[in-house]
Amino acid sequence: MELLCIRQWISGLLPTVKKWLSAWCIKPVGGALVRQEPEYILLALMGSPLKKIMLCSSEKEIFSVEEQVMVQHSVIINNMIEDGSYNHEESKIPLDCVDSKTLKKVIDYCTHHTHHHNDNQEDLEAWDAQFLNVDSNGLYDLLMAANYLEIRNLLDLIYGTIKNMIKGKKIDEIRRIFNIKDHGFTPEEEEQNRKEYPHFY
Amino acid sequence: MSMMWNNLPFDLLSNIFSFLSPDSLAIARTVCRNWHACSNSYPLIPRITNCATKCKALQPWFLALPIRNHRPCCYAHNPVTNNWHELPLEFSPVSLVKPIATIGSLILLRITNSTTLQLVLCNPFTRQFRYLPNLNMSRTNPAVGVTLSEYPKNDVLFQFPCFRIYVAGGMSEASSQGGATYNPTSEMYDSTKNNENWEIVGSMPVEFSVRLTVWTPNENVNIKEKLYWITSARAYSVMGFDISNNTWFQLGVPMAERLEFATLVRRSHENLGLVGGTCDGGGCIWELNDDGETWWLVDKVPIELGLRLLSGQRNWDSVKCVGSDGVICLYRDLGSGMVVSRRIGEKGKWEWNWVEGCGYVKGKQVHNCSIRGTLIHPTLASSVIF
Repeated sequence: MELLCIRQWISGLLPTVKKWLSAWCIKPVGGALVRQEPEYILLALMGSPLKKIMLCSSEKEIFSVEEQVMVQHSVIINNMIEDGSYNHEESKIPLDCVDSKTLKKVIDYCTHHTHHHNDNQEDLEAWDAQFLNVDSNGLYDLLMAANYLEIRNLLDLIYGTIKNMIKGKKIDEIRRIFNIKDHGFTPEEEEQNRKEYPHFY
Repeated sequence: MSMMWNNLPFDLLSNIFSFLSPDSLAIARTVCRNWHACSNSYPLIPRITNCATKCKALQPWFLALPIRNHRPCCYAHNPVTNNWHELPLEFSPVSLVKPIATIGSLILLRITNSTTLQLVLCNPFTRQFRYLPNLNMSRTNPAVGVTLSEYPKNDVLFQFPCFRIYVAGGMSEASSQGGATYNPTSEMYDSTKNNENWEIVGSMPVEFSVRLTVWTPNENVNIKEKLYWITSARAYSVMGFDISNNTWFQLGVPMAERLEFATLVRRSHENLGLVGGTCDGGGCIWELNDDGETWWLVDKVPIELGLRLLSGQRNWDSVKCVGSDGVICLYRDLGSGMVVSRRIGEKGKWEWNWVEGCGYVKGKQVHNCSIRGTLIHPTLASSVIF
């Protein structure tokens, strides 16, 4: 079972465990423990505490993500946490230009890459290919989100995909793939464009 | 949301464009106004160095310049799509040129219908060109070498090319006192200096100037602070110039008397390579050892590919070769096809492949002709040098 699931399962058991601890009168001893809640003692027994952060999409939907995951991938979020402007108890990070569907995908990407970073290259590449198997609208939203959150490796992945969509295609095909209905050129300008690098058209 | 691809912010779009090869970029520019404006205002610097991310570095293109041609043009081979393109080359008023060296995305050419050396810098993809100023002393058939001022960082190489051209030897014009003599001096042109002059930088032993003038085919290889030239015929030997201490030296070559063709190539930024062939030994590649004197055999041309290149010829006399970091091409003429060896990854093995010659471009037949080849990193970016 994935570590994430185990932790979630344990978190679910906490109220019961808390009750059990109080019933057996196990009181915190020593100066350090006085300030800690039983939840943290239990989590500390399991490994480092699982700090989560809240991300809020443009549709006001809240997503809870491991802080470690987002901090590793998004420069923006890393900066926010480092300079202390994010308060774990109360804050949520508002991402007004990312909708829920895209935010969920971005979180998915970051989480997978953090938890699977030791996987072999081929498996990661296969997962990435599957991840980016979206239509041009979805790709556009992902591009904007990755750019806003400054997620370097996701951006490079998207650039590579876009490059493959352009490479070797003719003008009309590219316009169709990227849904560009209005190219903005007059017929004279189009004619002019074709004369610029005639050996490539 | 679906209408937004034609309204991308320029910094994003220019990043996307930096992954495209010139032919794809030329088409992408014409897709819509936004893409056109972006490619006009942002420098289009192709990635030739291996970036930290998994994207592969762009490979250089093989450029074939016909030696004698009815109309001025050259042929470029795209290694990714395996297509040939015909590129017009018009330098008014002259048009017969011979490649001497490649500087990133620029070619340094010599005007062939002038006996004294006249050099032109050109980007065949943007059709920009510029004549270099005249030498201090006019010379016929000198040796020409090019060094890049530092191991090029991506941006620097394309936008502000920093290089030096060395010209050595050659025959000076007949003076009033007597006949023409071999010029024992060398001159240098520095692209980073604003002045339009060549600087006389040193002199060399007379026998070097004779050999450089009579026996060099003009291509040179620059490894760190040294320039190397190989003689143009048997018995092959290598002449070298050490820039740091302004001295000339000579190197032997394996099988010097028996090689049917021999070319120097840059195997990597540290290693000098020698590509040569004999009818019994086939095609071989040697690398110069760290001692700077001995060579060791590092690779051989696969027999089937060698036979295919020779296509019935008994010997390797008609074979020519060019190489640059990570790529070596053996060719004969425009239509003969090429044997190409590419290094896979930074320290990887070299892989051999066959590339079909240029027989047709966009459906029209191309007449076979003899060519001089060079390897270039194409770009549509204009350089400040023009």
